Amino acid sequence: MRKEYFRILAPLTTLEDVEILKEAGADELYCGYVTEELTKKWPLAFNILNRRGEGQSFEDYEIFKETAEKARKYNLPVYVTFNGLYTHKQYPLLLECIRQIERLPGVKGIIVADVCLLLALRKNNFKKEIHISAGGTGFNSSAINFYAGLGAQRIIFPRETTVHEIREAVIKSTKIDTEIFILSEPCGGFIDGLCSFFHCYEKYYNLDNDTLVSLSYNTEQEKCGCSFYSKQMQQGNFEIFDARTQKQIENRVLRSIAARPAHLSFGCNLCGLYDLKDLPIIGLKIVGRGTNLPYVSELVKTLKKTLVYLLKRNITRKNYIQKCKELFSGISINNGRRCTKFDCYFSPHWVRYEK
Amino acid sequence: MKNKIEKAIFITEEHDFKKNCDRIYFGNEFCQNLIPSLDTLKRFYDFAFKRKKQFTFVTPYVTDFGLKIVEDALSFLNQQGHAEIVFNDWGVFKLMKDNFSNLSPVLGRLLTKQRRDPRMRKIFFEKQGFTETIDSEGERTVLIPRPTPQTLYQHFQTSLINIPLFQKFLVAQGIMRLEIDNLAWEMDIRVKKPLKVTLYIPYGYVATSRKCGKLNLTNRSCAKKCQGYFFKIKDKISCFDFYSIGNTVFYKTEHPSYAYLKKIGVTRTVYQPRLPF
Repeated sequence: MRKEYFRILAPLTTLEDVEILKEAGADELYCGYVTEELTKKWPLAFNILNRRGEGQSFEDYEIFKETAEKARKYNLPVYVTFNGLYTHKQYPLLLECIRQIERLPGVKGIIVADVCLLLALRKNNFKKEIHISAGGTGFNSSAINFYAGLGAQRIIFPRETTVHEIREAVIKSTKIDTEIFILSEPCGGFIDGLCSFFHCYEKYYNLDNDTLVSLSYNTEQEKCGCSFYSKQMQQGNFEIFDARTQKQIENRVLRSIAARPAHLSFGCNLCGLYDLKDLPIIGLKIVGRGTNLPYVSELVKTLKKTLVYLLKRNITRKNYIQKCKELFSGISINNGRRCTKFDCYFSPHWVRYEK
Repeated sequence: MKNKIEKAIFITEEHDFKKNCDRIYFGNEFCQNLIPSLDTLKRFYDFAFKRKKQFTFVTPYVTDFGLKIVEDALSFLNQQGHAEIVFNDWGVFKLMKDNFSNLSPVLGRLLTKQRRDPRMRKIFFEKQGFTETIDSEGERTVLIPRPTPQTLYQHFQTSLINIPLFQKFLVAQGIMRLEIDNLAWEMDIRVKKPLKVTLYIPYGYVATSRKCGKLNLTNRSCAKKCQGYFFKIKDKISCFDFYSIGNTVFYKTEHPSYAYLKKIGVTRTVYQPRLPF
């Protein structure tokens, strides 16, 4: 029997998603769950509770319970994200929220980014699996061992880790489950766990045909750091300084490049799987809580087909990549842009030091 | 003097040094390509030693490749008897704890997880209760204002460092100092002894990346452009300036008052005469 190398984790947003994602080929599901008490004090829009905005997490316990139960019947383990960075006052409500879902048989574990939450869960004798999110910035084997020592069962590599770095970290570290992002949504010029740009994602309510009413925090700001940075640069709202003398300089070439549309987003990362296929089981996380279901299920379905092809004996890299292109030709990934080495976060292109 | 706040200076070159400092910080927090070579580290260690200044070596987040470079540096410092090491990667901490008992670990500002974006200041203080009606393309758009709750502001004033469980963990691990940035609003810091707090001034970091080529507009991998130029981004809405150098974006704040530093329990300041690259 063929060894199973990859498991597909799909984002779960509603009860109805479960069946469709199962049919598409998902092996595991992940989602957010928050309580009303938490969101009143720390609005979801600011991405504080689980790195997602409004309308992307379960907010009703009964519905979540039914969803987790349905997933259990379909043999789909559910992992719940608590990957925010929490402060002291949040802990009583946060731990109460976690205790609520810990009781559900369909919930297999939770995903955390915060070392302190990991410690709190251990102290409270949390019985289910704990995964370290990309926000935990586990870039190396020693960090993986550190988290494993604190009781983590799986580590999710930061998006910016190259295939070579993933291989090295996995081979050198304690035997712990690992997970990587795949078919990523546009996000993240910055490292998830080391980005403190504010984010504000609000849900808009279309009440009737004539009037669009939005409940708004009126931030006037770009909704995340990447778009803020790109926009400022494109609009030319910057000065250039010499790093040594600290004196202002002018550089027309840089200004001209800055004026072009910039992309701080990532790509699909399918090519990189070829170099990871001999490692122990790796979870492949499709980003997209709150993304439309037909699109996500199409991604899952196509990724499943890709994996079948990848795990065939004697498949060459060239043939594999060609097959990826064929399979995904009808699906808009990478924001519809052509695949380039610039967009791929597995690519060593960004981290090699050119002398 | 018992109540004195220790003054450290973060130097990237010898001429950054100021005589009135008590301690020298050297190294890089943001990029493994900028971990100093062993020769450079030795030079700066000697530089501090000759001037009778304490020495703190600052390390970044690293992959296994960078971990090896850090290991060599730590090995050298461990042999010298004692040095303080700022770690910004739990893997570096584990390496230090397992192998280098002469070194004192300090929790770096990348791991103290403050919410730093100064643009939030405007949202907290100016936009609450704001109402706006916009007519666009024949459709009436009404924005119903939602004030941000006080608890949101309180959340941004602090971080995990105030949590007793976390403080206890740090002390149990032998980590006796942690480091923070000066936020653009009043901070609520409650760190109990024996833990001590360091504050970086005037630059605080907002976000960092491994794709510096995207930020410095070269669209290529590291060519050490961080040593050549940086951008000062002028945000007209928040009225804050951002500084983008290499793979990291910073903001700048005024030097806080002595009374404020005492109030939040700061026992050391690290002055960065330039962006720390």
